[in-house]
Amino acid sequence: MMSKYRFLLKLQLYNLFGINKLIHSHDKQERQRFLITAGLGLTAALIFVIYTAKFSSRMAKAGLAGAIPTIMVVLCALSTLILTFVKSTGVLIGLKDYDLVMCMPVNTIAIVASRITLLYLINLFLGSAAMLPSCILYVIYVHPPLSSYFFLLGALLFTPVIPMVFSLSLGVWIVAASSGTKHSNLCSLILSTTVVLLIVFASVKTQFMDMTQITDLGRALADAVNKYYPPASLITRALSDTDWGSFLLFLLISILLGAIFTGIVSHYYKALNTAVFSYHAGRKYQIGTLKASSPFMALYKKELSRLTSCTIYALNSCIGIVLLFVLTVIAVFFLPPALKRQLETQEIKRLLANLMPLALSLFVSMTSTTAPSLSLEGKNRWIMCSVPAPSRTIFDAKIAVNLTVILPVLYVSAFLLRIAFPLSGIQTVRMFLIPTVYALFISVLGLFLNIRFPKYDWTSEYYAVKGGAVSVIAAIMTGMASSLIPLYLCLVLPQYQMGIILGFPGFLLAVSIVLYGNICRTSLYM
Amino acid sequence: MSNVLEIKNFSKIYSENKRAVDHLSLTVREGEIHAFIGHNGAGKTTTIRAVVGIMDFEEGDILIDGHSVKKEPVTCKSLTAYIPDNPDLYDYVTGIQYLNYMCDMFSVPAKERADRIRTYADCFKLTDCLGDLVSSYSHGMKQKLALIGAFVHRPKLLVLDEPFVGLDPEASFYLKKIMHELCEAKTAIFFSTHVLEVAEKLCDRVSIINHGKLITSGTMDEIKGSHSLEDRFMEVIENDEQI
Repeated sequence: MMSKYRFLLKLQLYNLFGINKLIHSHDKQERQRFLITAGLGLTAALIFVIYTAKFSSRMAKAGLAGAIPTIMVVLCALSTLILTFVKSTGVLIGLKDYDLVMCMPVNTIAIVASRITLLYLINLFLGSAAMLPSCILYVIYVHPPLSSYFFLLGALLFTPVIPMVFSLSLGVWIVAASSGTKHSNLCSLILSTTVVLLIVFASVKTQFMDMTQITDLGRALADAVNKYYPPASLITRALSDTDWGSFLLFLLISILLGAIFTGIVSHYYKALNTAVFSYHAGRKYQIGTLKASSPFMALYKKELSRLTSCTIYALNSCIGIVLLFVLTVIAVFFLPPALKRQLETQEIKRLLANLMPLALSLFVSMTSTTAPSLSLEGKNRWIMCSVPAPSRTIFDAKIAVNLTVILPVLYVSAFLLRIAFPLSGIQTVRMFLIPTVYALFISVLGLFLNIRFPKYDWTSEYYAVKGGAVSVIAAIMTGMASSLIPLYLCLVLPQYQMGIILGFPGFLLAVSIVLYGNICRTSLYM
Repeated sequence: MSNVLEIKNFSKIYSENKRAVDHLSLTVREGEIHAFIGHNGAGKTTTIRAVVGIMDFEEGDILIDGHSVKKEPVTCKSLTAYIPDNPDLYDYVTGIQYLNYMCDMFSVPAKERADRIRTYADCFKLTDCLGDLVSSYSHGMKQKLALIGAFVHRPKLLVLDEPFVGLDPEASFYLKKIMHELCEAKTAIFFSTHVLEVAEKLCDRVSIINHGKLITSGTMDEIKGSHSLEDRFMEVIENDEQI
């Protein structure tokens, strides 16, 4: 079984990060795409490493070096929890190569274990980015005994297991619960969004902790974590008291949970996949009157169906605008009185009124259904390429869907904020107009980048939407930078605030027009 | 009979050294069923993709009913129906939604849609399943749905890449019947196949391609003479390999 498990894992690793394509592809564009993806991925990892190193360094300087491993275990666990949850449905269940793999003379447990191992390796890579620099700083500041090096290595290797099992269980449960219905994707989408919103709500709530908690954040966090996340307390105890018992218990719990989960999923793997691949058999269909639409409307409706049919696409593309709405509701209806009083000072009021359009734009610029929209055509793209519609109409429909997702939520949020915070007429106009420009910009930019960096050869939608999709990463990073840079400049150069607030959107509007012109001249081919 | 499809000196170059198709010229007239045969990798699918306007090409021109695929792609596409060898359809729509989408894209009058769809769906025994998601369809059902989507807008040129693969015997029978009916209505049909017996029985003309070059083209009788098409194909290919 072990050798077959290794073969299965090896095959999956070929697909991971596109390394196999880099080695064997003769296509220059393909290699270029890989290098861009690798560059973006490494930059993101580097930012993460710098951020965690800085955070750990500050904690160590504040005399809290002993709490660093606890915090890092939690950071690693949280990133694993969220990333695995988002990936769980596309990586473990409902894969396109299910038939191919299951008809091979391999035990189901080897198949499931190979898939879970792949996820584990991705999480280990990300977890190391969070934990490794902090572990080094811990060693430098605390000078722990030799056994602690062993504990740290164990923590590094086994921390992703428990949150991964938890997230995968939740993901598998969502798949199982929603597979019986015809609109299983919609159910899955609603459940997934609810979970993400709960995580956001919890983190927002921690933002409103009182001053004593904030000043002693490190200790408070460490205490809370040790209380509510026992695996972290086991590592803390192992490190602080050189307690081999706690360390071995941590390893045992991780390994046992991983093994039990693999066993349970293997047992129900066929049933779960059958449920995902089976369909809701309707009654005998009777052809009635069919409503005609223009080619644009037909394309638009098809794009909307695509968005609602794919959980990972909807979740990944729309979470920015959902967050905007949730945060608006919190700011308008649930703002703590202490913070409300602070906001009422004249200076903050003026700053808030000026910066609010850019703050709204930040969430808008995270929302791009267009960035993976072309890639998601995948093997269906022969239809898009062969229908008698100009490429421009096809692109317009994709842009229209992104605007449909953004603008109604944006305007409702802006309206609520306008009621809660008094603004002048011109400030109100700016609050509606500037994010609208950003909505146009991110829609056009996403599509432009997807035309340049399409990824049609995916086996799971996850790879078109997330895993190494250059267009998505580049669109979101550029979009966020386009709103964060003016926000930062407004704070450091207050004398030029108005110029920045109006100049940046003006520039982005011009860029959008140029990009749209370029898009319109693009022909669609296979 | 006028030419519906004219391929003039068409070449497709993938890299500097590799010509997938080399100066290919052929015509398909209205009401004609034209078979396009050759080995795997001979250049059939490349030619077909260029004809239907989903692949750009460097040399030559392709005219559909007198319109250039390069200069008037949308007009050409509105006259053409295409079914690839493995028709992957939108899994997230129902069968009827897919067909209505094709009707919208090809501007089929609203009043005629239901009747046209019913005619072909009844023929392929697919009507009962049209309310189900395409993801629930078998390979053969998807093939049938793609065929209905192609027939429903009454194309002037029907281009099919291996249309009989995956179809059950009954569906194959009805496909051949519909192909003849379309020909009577002056539609030109250009299709690739590896099943030479089908080509021999069904087609008026045949073209043989090898290593991207057209070796021979003519009426079925001209090409096969007193032999079977299979014998003639093997003979032509072997002669070409020796050259």
